Order: sequence, then structure tokens, then C-alpha cells
Amino acid sequence: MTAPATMTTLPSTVEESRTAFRAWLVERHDELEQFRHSGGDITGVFVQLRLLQRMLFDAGWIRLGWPKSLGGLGGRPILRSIVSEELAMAGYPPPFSFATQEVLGPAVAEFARPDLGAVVLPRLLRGDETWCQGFSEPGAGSDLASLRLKAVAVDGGWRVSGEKIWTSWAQFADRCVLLARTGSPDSAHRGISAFLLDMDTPGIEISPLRSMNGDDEFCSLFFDDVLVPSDRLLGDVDGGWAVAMHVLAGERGAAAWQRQIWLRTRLSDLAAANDGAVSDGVIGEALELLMGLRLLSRRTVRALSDDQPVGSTTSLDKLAMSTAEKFLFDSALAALGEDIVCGDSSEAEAWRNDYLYSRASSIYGGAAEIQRNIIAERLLGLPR
Amino acid sequence: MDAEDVAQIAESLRQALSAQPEGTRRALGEFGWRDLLADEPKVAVSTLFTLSGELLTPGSMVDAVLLHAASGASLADDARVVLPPPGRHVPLSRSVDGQTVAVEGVVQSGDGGIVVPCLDARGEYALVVCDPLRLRPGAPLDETAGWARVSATAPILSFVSDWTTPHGDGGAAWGDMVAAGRRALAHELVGIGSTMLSMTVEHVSERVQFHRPLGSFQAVKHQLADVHLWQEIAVLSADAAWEDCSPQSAALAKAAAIRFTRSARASCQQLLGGMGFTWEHDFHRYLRRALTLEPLLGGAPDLHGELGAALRSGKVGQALIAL
Repeated sequence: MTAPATMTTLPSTVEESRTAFRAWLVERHDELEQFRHSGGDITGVFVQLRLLQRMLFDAGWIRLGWPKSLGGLGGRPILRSIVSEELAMAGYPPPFSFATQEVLGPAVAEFARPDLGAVVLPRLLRGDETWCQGFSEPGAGSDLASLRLKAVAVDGGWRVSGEKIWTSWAQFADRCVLLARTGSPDSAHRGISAFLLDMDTPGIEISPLRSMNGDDEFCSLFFDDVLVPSDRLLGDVDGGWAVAMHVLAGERGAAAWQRQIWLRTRLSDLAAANDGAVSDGVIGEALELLMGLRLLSRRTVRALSDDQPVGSTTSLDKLAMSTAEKFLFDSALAALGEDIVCGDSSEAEAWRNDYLYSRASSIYGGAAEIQRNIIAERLLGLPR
Repeated sequence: MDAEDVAQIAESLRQALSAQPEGTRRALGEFGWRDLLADEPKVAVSTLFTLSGELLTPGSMVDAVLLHAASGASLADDARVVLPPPGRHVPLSRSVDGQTVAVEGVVQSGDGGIVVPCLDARGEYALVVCDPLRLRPGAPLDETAGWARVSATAPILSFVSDWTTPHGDGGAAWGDMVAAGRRALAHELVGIGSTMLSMTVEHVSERVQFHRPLGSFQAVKHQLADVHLWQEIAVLSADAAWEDCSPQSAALAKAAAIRFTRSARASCQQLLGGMGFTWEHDFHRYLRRALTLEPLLGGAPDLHGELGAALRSGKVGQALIAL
């Protein structure tokens, strides 16, 4: 298969996809050069990612594995999982916005009314829009089923009031996948519905929440009687938990696969840092942990791509991820501590940021304690 | 061979080994395991060694695996290979003036001839054959594992001359033998750790204290969840080591297996409580076997050092565990 300017022949295997994408990277080398370094401040980064995404969309790479009715090219989703890996191998910074598409895209593709999906999905994939995820609340973190943001049925739709927190990059988002309580207050996971909400709807207030690494990634969202049209319901009324689980599977599937690739590039950075200050033994142990994560993640990506259920096994992926990530950046702190504490170079700044962010890896997306409970009760069958 | 065939082989191998608990070699001979090793090495090794870990079969067939990996070398079926002392993978044995070899390491007890991987004065690898040596039987931690120390000087009967041919040099040829041995040991450790874990899950599900099954306490659940995480990774790693059969994937498999048995040794021992500390309970037999096998052909520090050096020299690409 020769390098297509646009996708004329669909790759049928991962290897075909990889070979063709590599050829395309070489062919478009000059045009891609602008993405070699990330674009400075966060607004610049978002602009740059949008351009890269547009280029990958136009060439077809990130349309692989999405249904044709939703702007995709068909085929299996795993065909596009090589894109992040090959970009990283070729030395381009990780296009982290791709993760949003892999986390929220499949759930919206599955649960949105067909005419809504046909409008919004192509816009997400092309990079015309970014989306955010409105799940956690001040009173509902790992215990997501206790969420309280309320949606009340009215003529033509729903009125939403309440609060969300930890919503990544809401200040840049065009739409939000929102979980709301539509059942009684004690209906737990049985009384939750999911919506796809436009972020420019009146009544939404966004306030960034500075996290300990200094980023404004996370936001608090306040909803004051916000109107959501009825065709924005995802799935069934009170059927939002299935949507949430679908989102979770995406997070633990293709998005996690992308993150382990990024962690791998940071391990290579660490191996080269300070003229090899970190011992072979530490590098090797970090590699062992990352390869363990890679094996679990590959199993999940393959299963999801083939429409196989993944169930509770993704709790293993999540626990492996936080363990590997913390080990990697603990090792960086041990070896480069002086730089991390006192340094002012861009490398020192990156290590400091990644070290601090890694502290959250056992908290977000379901705390490690919850993962261990799930593993023990559902995989080992221990009594509740 | 599909998954069903492999499961059938594993089941008949289990029956063969269980029927002759003291005669592993005879049972395997009757089973035709060496033919299976020649035709389907992955099936032969993954089934036998996992079972050896579960059943704690006496002795080890790792010699057969090492000799099979020394492709090109024509050696007797019952030949035994001297492994470097536990904790290292580079031979400590030295050939002296081409006539004698100073043997240092561990070897299976038995009657067969001895094959010694060694280095000569110039640091070149050689594989030499000796007569059976006097072993220092000693008092090993696991008396059924069959490993005994050897420290002796012996006349060299012959050099295995065709050993390095497919590889070009002795270092690479020995590296292939080490990788094959590590793959086998990874499967065996998975069998050992899995048995420790399942006996502990059973125990904490049944044992009641404070009017509750032990397994309902979160402190207990969390320890076993971690053991299960390392189990899953060890199982996947042992399997993945056959995808490219590289030294790196074999080192990763053994490192993951050690992490699993180490966590199983610690957590399962703790959760089995006083019962698991008695001689009557099977736990200590698995502990002994794990402690014996973990350092063979390199323990965790050795493996991690090797893996780190491999990454730095660019030998660990994205092709390792590819999608």
C-alpha cells in the first residue's frame, strides 16, 4: 500500500495501517514540522492541536474505525490506535486532545440520536469542536452514583441545576457529556441520565480551579436552570449509567493506550537525563512496570475494538497505570530532585509538572482504593 | 495448534504428572514431551512449567529447555547444564588452558553428563562437556527442587563446537539459552504464585473472625487485589515472551513473574496467618520453591539492570508488545 494523500484504500490490518501511516509521515514531513514543538501557552497548544487534528482527519487516519454515518471510514477502531504511537516515535509531542475523542466519542456514537451523532461526531473528529466530561461533583467523586445535579423534565426538554467539578478544559469546550439525576434522590445509578449539552447555553458558569501543578485544566461548573433540548438525551431516561460505563471503557481503552505511549517517551527522557544519572536498574524496573501496563492496555484495546465486553478487568489497567506512573516520576524526583526543586529550565519545569500531576494518577478516574475493591470483589470473588 | 488443543495437552500432561508424582522424567518420557518441545516449544514449555509450579514436581526440566535453545548442539537427552550461581546470568565457570574447567554454579542432581557454559581467559564463551561431578548436596531450602551447588575442577571431555554457529558468537548463543530458561521459569513461577493466591482466596473466604469472613475486610481485599494485579501481568508477560522470543521479552517475563511471587509470598503468608506457618500447610512448600527459582538465571536486580541497559542501547522498540 503506498502512501495515500487521502485514504483511498482502507488498511485491513494494524500492520497495514502502521506502514501506510509511517509513509504518510515521511511524505508530509515538511508540513508536520510545525507540530514538532508544542505551542507555548495552553491557548497556543489548543490551536496547534486543532490544526494537527484537521490534517489527520483530512488524510483519513483518525477517521478509521468510526462508522461512515458519523464521518468515519469504517473498519475496526484498533486501526487508528497506531496514530499516537507513530507520532511519538517520530518525535512529535503527544496530541493529548485525541484522548477526549477516544473517551467521549464512542459513547456519543453509541447513544446519541442518529441525526445528532451525524452532526456532532464529524465536528469532534475534525477538530472543529472540543468536548468536556461533566461527571464528578463536590459530593460525588469515586462514589459517582451518588451525584445530585438535577435534570427536571419540562416542555421540549430538561432543566438542569447543580454543580460539577474536575471537568478538564471546560473553558475551551463546545459541548459537555453531562450526567444528571433524573430519578429520586436515593435512586443511585438507576436514576441517572446522560445528555450532550452545548456549553454556550445560558446559565452555565465556568470557573477554573488551579491544580497543584499550576495548571487551569480542571474547572468547576455551575448550572442555573439550564435548558437542554429533549433530543440531547443520550440513551434512555434513567439509562445514563450505561453511557458512563461506555465512557469509562473508552478512558481505560484507547485513551490509556495513548497515555502509556507518552509515559514511555518520558522514560526515554529519564534514561537520557543528566548524562545518564539514573541507574540501569531503576530504568529497567520502570520499563517492567510500563510494559505490564502496556500488556493490560493492549488486551483492553483489542477487546473493545472487537466489541468484546471488558468488564471489571479495566480496574487492573487503572491500578497498573497509577503504579507505573508514580514509580516513573518518583524515580525522576530521586535522580533529578535538585532540578525539580530549584531548576528553571524548560526540562526542569516539565519534570516538576509531570511529577506533581502523577500524584493524581491514583485519584482521578476512580481512586486506587475503589479499583482494589472492584478487583477483590468482582475478579477474585471475595465477600462484600 | 488452537487454544482447545493446548488445553487438552495441558490436561493430559496434568494426569501424567499426577499419576507418577515421584517420577517426572519417566512420566514425561512416556508422554513424549521432548518431541513436543521440538515441534511446539511454546506449548511444551508453557504447559509443563505452569503445571510444575502448581504441582511442585520434583526436579526441573529446565536443562532440556536450555539444550533445546542451544540449537545446533548435539547433546545427550539426560545432559545437565550448570547454571550460574543464583542471582546472576553470566557464567562464573572458567575454562583453564583448554584442558580443564573450574565449575561454579548450580546443577540438577542426576546421573547425566555435565554441560558447562563458561568463559575462557580471553572472555570468550564456550560450552564444554564433563563427566558427572561430585556435588555438594548441602541442605537446600527446597529439597525437592533438585538444585545442588557445584564447585569443582574437572577435565574437559569435549567442546560443543557447533554451538555458536547460528548466532555468530557465544555471548548471543548463551543469551538465547538464558532467554529460553527465563521463559520457562516465568511460567513455573506463575504456577507457584497462582497456587499461593488461590489457596489464600479460599482461606479468607471461609475463615471467620470477628463474626465476618476475613475476605470481607478491606485491608485483606486490598492486599489480594495487588497480588492479582501482578498475577495478571505475569501471566500476560509470560505469554507475550513467545511473540518475539527476544532476550528482552524473556527478561520482562521473568521480572514480572518475580514481582508476582514476591507479592504472593508476602501477602498470602500474612493472610494465611498461623495456619500458613505450620509444616502441615502446603504454603511453605510453595514459598521454598519460589525462593529457589526466583534468582535462577538472574533475580530482579540483575533483570532490571539488563533491561535498563537494553533500553539505553535502543534494543527496546515499540515493536515489543505491538498492537
